[in-house]
Amino acid sequence: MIRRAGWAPRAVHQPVEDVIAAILDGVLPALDDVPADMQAELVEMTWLDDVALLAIAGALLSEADRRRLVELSGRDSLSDAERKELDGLRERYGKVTLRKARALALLSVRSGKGSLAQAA
Amino acid sequence: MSEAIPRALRERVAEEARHRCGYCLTDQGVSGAQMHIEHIVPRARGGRTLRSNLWLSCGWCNSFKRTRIAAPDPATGVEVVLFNPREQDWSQHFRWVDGGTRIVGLTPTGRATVEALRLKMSRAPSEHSSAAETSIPLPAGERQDRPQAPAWSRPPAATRRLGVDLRAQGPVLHQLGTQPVSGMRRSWETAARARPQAHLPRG
Repeated sequence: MIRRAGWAPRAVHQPVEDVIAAILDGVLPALDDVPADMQAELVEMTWLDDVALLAIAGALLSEADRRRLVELSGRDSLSDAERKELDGLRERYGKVTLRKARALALLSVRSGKGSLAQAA
Repeated sequence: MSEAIPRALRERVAEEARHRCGYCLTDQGVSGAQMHIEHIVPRARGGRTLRSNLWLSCGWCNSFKRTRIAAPDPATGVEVVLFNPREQDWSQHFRWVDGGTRIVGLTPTGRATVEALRLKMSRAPSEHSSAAETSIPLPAGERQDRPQAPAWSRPPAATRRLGVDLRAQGPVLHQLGTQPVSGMRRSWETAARARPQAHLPRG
């Protein structure tokens, strides 16, 4: 870790304080807006290895779910049951997206690069 | 639906859209589902499957836009046409705020689109039932008193809060000596090209 702490700031031409802040940002993500039932899962991803994170980063909603999401979204009117189904599909889509985002953020930090907040 | 759109046309539209949702700018590389080729004027409203009427949208935006082409500007109540990602400049109608985690509308079209597509959805359920949000007309035949949306963050806002820097993914792959999961390389390479312009997507 000490070696990395010395290498990373040089590699990205950033002050060591900024790099450490980015690392902490990766380990301790801002969980604002994250559903309560996913907060622990997203933090626990910190300890997954790179292969596991890459798998998560490549995940997508199932094709059946995606098609159904598109189908329901293209209808003029929905029954109560269909509206509930659409909400459920949105939630599944959101969960996959958040896991991907977290995996990409962790991979980004592990590569010695910063977070989006730094890039902005 | 995208299934009826020829593959070459889908690919051309995706390239034109830089593999990002035309509304929230979520990149395909971070989206939880394959992006949808949207009819800007929905087929249910007479929109045709022509390149000029097609763009990319994410599952979230598309599921809220549905078959609408207009919505009220929450500032005035006047109904206006929703944002057209092919013909209009994103930065003229929207702006990132709150550290790049939320989108606000700058114009009547921008404000109406933010409200209609829930571009600023918060996790707080109370905000979902605000007057501004529940006043949005739903497609014909749908009840106005629909149940509250689940206590869900809009994914793009939360993904930005999680600190994604898509530009870093290429180096990650190089460092790990790992071949990306099938289909990811192009998304990441696209993201690497697109991300620096994310705040001015359609210059």
